[in-house]
Amino acid sequence: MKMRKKLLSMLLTGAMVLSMGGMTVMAEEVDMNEDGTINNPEAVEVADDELSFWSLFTGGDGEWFGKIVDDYNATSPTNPIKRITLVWADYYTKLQTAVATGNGPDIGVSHVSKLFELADTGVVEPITDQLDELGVDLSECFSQESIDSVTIDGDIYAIPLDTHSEVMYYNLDLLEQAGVTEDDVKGIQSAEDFEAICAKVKEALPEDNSVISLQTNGDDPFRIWYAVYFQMGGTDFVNDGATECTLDVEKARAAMEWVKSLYDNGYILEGIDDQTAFFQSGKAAFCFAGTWVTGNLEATDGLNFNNTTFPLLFGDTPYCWSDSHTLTIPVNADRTDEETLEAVKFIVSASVDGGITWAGSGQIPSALKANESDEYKAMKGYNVVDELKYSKYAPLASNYYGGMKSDLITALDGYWQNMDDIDTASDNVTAAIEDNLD
Amino acid sequence: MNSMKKRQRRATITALIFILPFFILFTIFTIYPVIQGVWVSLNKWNLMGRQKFIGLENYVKMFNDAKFWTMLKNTCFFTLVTSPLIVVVSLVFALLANRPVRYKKFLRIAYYVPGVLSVSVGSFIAQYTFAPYRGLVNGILTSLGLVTTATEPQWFQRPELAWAVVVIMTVWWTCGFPMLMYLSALQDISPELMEAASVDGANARQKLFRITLPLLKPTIYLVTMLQIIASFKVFGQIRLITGGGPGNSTKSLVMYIYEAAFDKNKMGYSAAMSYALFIIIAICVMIQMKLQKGDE
Repeated sequence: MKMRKKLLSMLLTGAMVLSMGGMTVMAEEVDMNEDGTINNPEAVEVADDELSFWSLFTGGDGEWFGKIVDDYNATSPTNPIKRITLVWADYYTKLQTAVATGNGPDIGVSHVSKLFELADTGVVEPITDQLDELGVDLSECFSQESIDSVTIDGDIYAIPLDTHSEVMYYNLDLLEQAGVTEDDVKGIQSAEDFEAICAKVKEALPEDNSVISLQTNGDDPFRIWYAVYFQMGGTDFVNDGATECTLDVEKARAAMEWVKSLYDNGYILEGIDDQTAFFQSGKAAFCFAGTWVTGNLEATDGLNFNNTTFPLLFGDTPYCWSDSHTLTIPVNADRTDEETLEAVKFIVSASVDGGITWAGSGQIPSALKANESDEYKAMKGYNVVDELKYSKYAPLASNYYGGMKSDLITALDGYWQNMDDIDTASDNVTAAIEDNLD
Repeated sequence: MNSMKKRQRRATITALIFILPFFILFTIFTIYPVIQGVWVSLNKWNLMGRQKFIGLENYVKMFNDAKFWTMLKNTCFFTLVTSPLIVVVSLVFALLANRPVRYKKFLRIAYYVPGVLSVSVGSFIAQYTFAPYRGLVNGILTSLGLVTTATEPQWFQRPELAWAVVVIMTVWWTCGFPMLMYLSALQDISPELMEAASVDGANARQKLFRITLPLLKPTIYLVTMLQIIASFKVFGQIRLITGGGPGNSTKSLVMYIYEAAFDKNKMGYSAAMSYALFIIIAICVMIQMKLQKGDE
């Protein structure tokens, strides 16, 4: 009896120890969401000869990029690309933690506004040597502005894929109803012009419609403020090296007051929580949104709309908020030098040869080859190609993306939402920059 | 005598062998990170680069960080409002569900069911319920003619209303489990006590206040303590429903800690704030336990 008990306890202990060991060697299952995004990208099986690519492109963008990858893999490269799409909101957190723990991918995506931080913290590596080895001359493929945007301390850290700007969409049916023509809209040369059109449209619209579809929080009002600030002649937010705040406080404040006047004058219906959806419902005459919503808007039944560049409201240059997707090579000790070279080969090809495919998503392709093609000129996205010239990219500060930008948005939200008066809010804007210097 | 000692020792060894696997895992995954966390809080570290020892600088920064205090105030406000609400509402639910009525089972399930939802599902339900122009609440108010499109309440634009949504969702979502605890405690109360009270001529109210509630005291203490701890750690529903807005008015301390760590890569600072929160919760629990002891 005693013997048995002993045996049993030993067996149980053994089973526990075994199951513990088993847990660690058992491969983790891939956890996929309904839209095909993956929650645990490090668990996706990647064949020995494949290069893993962590994508942040979902929805329509995801399909276009999928096509670029398929086209590349169809050329039978030495190392085919395995595309793994992450949930967008988690992308950078997962990328940074995965690289830190040695589980990162071979190829990644970065916004230009995040690139400086990723390079600064050692998440991505420079590719200058590989480009030389491959004999790629970037100046033949991209504009100097694009190349500058991915150059840090003389090294190339990424291949630019596109520029995406905050542009203006307008509902042709509602404008016609108000007696406003497309030429009027494209001819806006000042804030007064724009406000006059807004006033005219407001007269003609029913109560539950909105002249402009705009949220009172988040990225979109921030981007409008950003554009207006630079149009008013605002200076860069920080100096070289991001050690000092160089914001023009007066202009920042004036830009805030102007954007706020759009809400206060009743051009924006209160409580719009999804401005693209609201515009899609056909109840708003204007919508300021990113180039990437073009595809979604085109797919909306019964929405008769067009797009144009961000209007000139102040000064003489219609600066706009822009960011840019770039393709990067994250630090990964498991990757051989040959594989790194292949990975660089892919990102160059994806941007240069895939550029015209990518234009289908509505973003402005960076590759000159795509940019100047007739195929692109026939697309709706081409209407805003001029934004390439007027883009204001993010400041080069390591704490920009998660820190400065999100603090700026919170500071501005407080003002749009009547939580803070202009004095407090503009102090908060300055603090948002000062708190996040390098 | 000797054999007994021997047997005892054997029992101890057997027990140790059983405890060991858990103890090893607990050490690796809980005790070690707790110690490591203290170390991280004394360093400047962005996850990728090297840790740089800076002593108590993170803690000094915390005391001077106005945002830290705002978030702490928000969190205390949330705790002060939701904890008593949950303690009382779930008690009322339990009393209702404990009556000998025919739909008793239905009531128990109905009160408990929201608790099985994940925080994201619960938060989305709250968001849709209170959404302007198309949400359930504003829809009902509009169709009753109480508000118009122009005057309907903007639940997520005003701090008071945003708090109301978060609190309502939290109470609705959390009440199930404390209710179960109350229910089981209620069932431990001997029916003979109630009978005896009835024979002595006590009315329903007297029975509730003189018998039921005093006997529930230990459970009430337990629920209160668990709720205070949970409330201080609030994160999911606020992040998903209001995102901390409008402005920073509903942002909780844990959200701020999360942002410091994973948006701003300030691991040291976020560890320091985590320990501040830990100490606050520990003090609350100690006060609570003292009160309970004094009471007994």
